[in-house]
Amino acid sequence: MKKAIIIFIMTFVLALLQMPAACAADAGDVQAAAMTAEEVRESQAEALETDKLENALPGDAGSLLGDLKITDSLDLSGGVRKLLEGVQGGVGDAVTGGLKSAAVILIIAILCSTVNTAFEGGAKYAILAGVLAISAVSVLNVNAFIGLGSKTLDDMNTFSRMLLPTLTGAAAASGAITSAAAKYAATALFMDIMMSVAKSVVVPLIYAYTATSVAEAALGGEGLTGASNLLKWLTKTIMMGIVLLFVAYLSLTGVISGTTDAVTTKALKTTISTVLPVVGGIIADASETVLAGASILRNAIGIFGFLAVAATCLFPFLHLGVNYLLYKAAAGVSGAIADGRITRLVGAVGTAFGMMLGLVGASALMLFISIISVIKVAT
Amino acid sequence: MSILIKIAAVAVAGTVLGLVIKKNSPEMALMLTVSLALIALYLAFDTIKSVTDFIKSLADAAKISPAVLTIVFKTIGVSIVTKLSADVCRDAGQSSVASGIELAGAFTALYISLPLLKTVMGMIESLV
Repeated sequence: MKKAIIIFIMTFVLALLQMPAACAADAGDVQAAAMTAEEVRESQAEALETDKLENALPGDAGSLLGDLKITDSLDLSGGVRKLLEGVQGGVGDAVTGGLKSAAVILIIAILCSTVNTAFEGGAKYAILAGVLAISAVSVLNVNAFIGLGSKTLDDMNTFSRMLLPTLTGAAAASGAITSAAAKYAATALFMDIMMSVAKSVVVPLIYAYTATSVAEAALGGEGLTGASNLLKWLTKTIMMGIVLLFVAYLSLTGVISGTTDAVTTKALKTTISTVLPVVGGIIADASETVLAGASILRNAIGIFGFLAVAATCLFPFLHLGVNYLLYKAAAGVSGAIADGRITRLVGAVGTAFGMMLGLVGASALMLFISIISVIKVAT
Repeated sequence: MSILIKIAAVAVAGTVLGLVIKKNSPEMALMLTVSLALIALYLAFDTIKSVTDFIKSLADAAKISPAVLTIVFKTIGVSIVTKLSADVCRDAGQSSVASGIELAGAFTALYISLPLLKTVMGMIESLV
């Protein structure tokens, strides 16, 4: 008897709850519905602590993006414009700095080679001094810019630890519980692997490659040439291997868990609508609003993360890229005039910049892929 | 360009004069050859100084230590002096003296490059 009374009371309450919602729906009060969605989004943002994510922007990225909020970053083109405006001043500095170093290196190379050629190869000690001087200048640059690259990797890693859980939370709230968790696990795992391998293997390999290239230029010898070629191949293979594994793993988990989520969400909505005949439709509609709000928030966090990662690696990428291109250009120009050892040394330094550029690029690419894959989860 | 024309004119005139003198007084011809080389270097001094000044100003702008360039310039100077003096000795038929000068030049160049070599070795050590 008690059970019957409870069931009756619950049915009555549910009917009462249904009435205003039904009336609102019938009246077509779109504005009220929109406000509700906005409120839902705000409460979801509060629950996911998106303000902490905004405050976790690395120094350079923070100054580039200014006081960008997650809701602002829905405007991707505006954010990109902000980034481009911020980077405009830096381009000149990066190019000028790199150009001066490259010019000095080129002039030393030309000077030493001119003297050596004038004396028909009789000034090989001038070439040695030239090689040593170029080594001293370029190793300082390599050291500084590899340090900058390593710092960028650290910044990206720290930011990803804030971004990915928040993004995953938003994705899970939008219905992609399994795929978001799987993708978070994959990204976190591979970012950790990438950072560990980068710090303990790839960066030392780049340093070792630079060292063997300098030694090869100063002393010569086939053994050193072979060693530096091996180190270059090893560095590139490791980086490519990690990125390929990451993409393959992410695709696999994405396909499997994405389908699972889509099926689960659809089944849940159908079950709610079918099992609860009167209120089921309303609850399903309400869940639709919650899921839509979470989807918008997920996209906003994704775009914010995308811009933040781009802003973090933009300046280091610019500096490394400019140095890479200038050193390669200097090697090309000196190839026509200077001694072969000097040309190979300048080219090798350019390659070291290129490898660091690749490492920073691969890490940024992994984060971009993670963000896009979480934004694009199938629900 | 005008400097090069001056150098070329002095060198050609001096060489012709040297050939004439060589028959009667080979010692004087040798002295003339050495003098010609020194005159050529003296005439080219301003040009060389302009080039080194330009490289130094560029290195200043690129914040590269002047010590690095000084070593390169000194080594190039040692190479020039070694080559010229060795060639003069060879012209006089003193090949063994020329070889001795070349050996001394090589060691001097190495000695001058030593601080740079140490710096680079230190950098390589710190990298690895």
